[in-house]
Amino acid sequence: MKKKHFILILVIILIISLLIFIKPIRIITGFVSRIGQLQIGNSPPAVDIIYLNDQEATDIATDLIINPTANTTTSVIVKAKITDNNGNCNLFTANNATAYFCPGTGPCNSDTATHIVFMNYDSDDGQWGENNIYCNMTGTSENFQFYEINGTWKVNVTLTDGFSYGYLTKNWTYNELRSFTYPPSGNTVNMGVLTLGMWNNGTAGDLIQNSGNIVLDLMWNATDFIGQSKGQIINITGTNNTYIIDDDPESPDDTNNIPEAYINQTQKHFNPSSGLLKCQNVACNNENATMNVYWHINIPLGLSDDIYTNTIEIESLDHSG
Amino acid sequence: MIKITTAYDRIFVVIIIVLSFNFSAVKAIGVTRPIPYDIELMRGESANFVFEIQAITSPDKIICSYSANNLEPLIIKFDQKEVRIEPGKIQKIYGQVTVPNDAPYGTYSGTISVSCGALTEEGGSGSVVKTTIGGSPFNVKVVEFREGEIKTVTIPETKKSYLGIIIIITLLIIVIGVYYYFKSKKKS
Repeated sequence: MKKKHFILILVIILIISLLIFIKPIRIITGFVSRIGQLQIGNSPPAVDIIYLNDQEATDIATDLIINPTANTTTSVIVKAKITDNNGNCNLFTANNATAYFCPGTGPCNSDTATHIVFMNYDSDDGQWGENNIYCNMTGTSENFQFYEINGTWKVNVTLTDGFSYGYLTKNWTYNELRSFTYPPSGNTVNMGVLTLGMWNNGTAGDLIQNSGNIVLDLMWNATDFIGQSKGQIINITGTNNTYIIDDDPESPDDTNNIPEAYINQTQKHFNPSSGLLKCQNVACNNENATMNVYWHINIPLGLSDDIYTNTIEIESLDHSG
Repeated sequence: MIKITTAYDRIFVVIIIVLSFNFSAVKAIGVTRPIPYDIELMRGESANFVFEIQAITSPDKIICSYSANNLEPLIIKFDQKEVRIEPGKIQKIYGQVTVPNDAPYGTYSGTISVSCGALTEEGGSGSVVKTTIGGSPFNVKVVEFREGEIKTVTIPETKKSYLGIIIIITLLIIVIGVYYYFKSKKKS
C-alpha cells in the first residue's frame, strides 16, 4: 500500500470517528424570553374563635353560660377571630359576617336562628398580626329576653369574602332564671276600703307575672294581722277562715279559673294548673303567664280602727307538671 | 235615713274603716341557677360556685338569705350569710361545696333556695311580702376518680382594708414624735 493511500484511509477513519463520537457543535446566536406565571386562587375566610361577652364559646355548652335578667333583657355581644389568607379581612363589612343564635342542639342557620346579628370589622379592635390576614369582627349588641328558652344554644358565625364561605358553630348556655313579679307596678297591694263584719269583695286585684324562664308553682301563706297601735289581732286562722286569695273579685263565690284558697300559716298552692307559664313576648299577654290576685278578707266586728300589718310569704318552686 | 233603735242594730251598723294595707313588696327577685351546676369531685375536694340574686325591679332595698337543700353530707358554705341588695341591682353570691372524706359515692341532686324581704323603715305600716325562690338545681357527683379538671369559679378577692395599716402608721408617727419631743425637752 502506498503511503498516499494509507494516509487517505487514515483520514477517512478519523472523519468517520469524528462523525460518530463527537456531537456537532452548533453556534446559536440571539435569545428567547418566557413569562413566568402562577395563579393564586381565592382562599376561603375562616372563623377561628367565637366569643360571647368576651367569653370563648367551645363545643361544651356549659363552658360559657350567660345569665338572663329578670323582667328585662340581657345584652350579648358576639365577637369572632377570623383568618383571611388573601389579606383582605380589614375590608370586611356587615355584609360579610353574620352570627346566628339558635336555641337547642340542632342545626344553626338562618332558618333556625331566633337572633341574627351582622358583624363588622372592628377598627378599634380589628387588626392583629400582619398583612390583614387576622382580624376581629364584632356584632352589634343583641338583646335576649328574660323568657327565652334556657339551656343549650348554638352560635354560628358565617363569613364570606364575596367568593367563598367560612363558618364556625359553637355551643353556649342561656342559664335558668327563676323569677316572678308581684305586684306589677309600684310596691303597694292596695286592700282598699274595708267593711267590718262581712266579706270584702273586689279588693286588691293585682297581677303576678312570671319574669324568668322557668314555669313556676306558687305556694302562699300569711300571718295574722296585728294592729300597730292597739295590738288587736285579725286572726286569719280561726274557724271563720277569714283570708282568701282568689283570681276573681267575688267572694265567697268563686267565678274564675283558679279555685280560691284560704290563706293561713300553712302553705297553700295557688296558681293556674299549668303553672305560672313563661312569657312569650314582652307584653307577656299569653295565657297563664300572668295571674290576677285578689285578696278577700272578712274582718270581724269589734275591731278598732288601726293600721294592721301581717306578713305574706310567696314561695316559688319549679312546676311539677 | 236609717234609724238605729236597738243595741242589736248598733252592733250591726256597718262600720266602714279604711285600713291602709300597704304591702312592702319585694316586687320581683330573680335567682339564676348556680354556675357551675354539675360538679364532679372526689372525696376531700372542693369547688366554688356562683349565682345571682337580681333585684332589678324591686322598688325597695331587700335583704336575702339562702340555703342549700338535699345535699347532705356535702358541706356548703356561702361567702356571706345574708346580703342586702339595693333596688335595681344584681348581687353575685359565691359558695363553696366540699366533699367530706367519708361521703358515699354517688350523685347528690340538691337545690339552692333564696328568701328575700323588703327592708322597710322601723314603724312602717302595712303587710310585708316575703319571697322565696326555691328549686334552683345544683348537682354534685362524688366519684372515686374524677374525669377532667374540677369545674369551679374564682371568687374575687374582697377589697383589702387599709384602715389597720393607716392606724399602725399613725400610731408609729405619734410614738416617734413623742419620743423626739421628750428628747429635745430633756436636752434643753
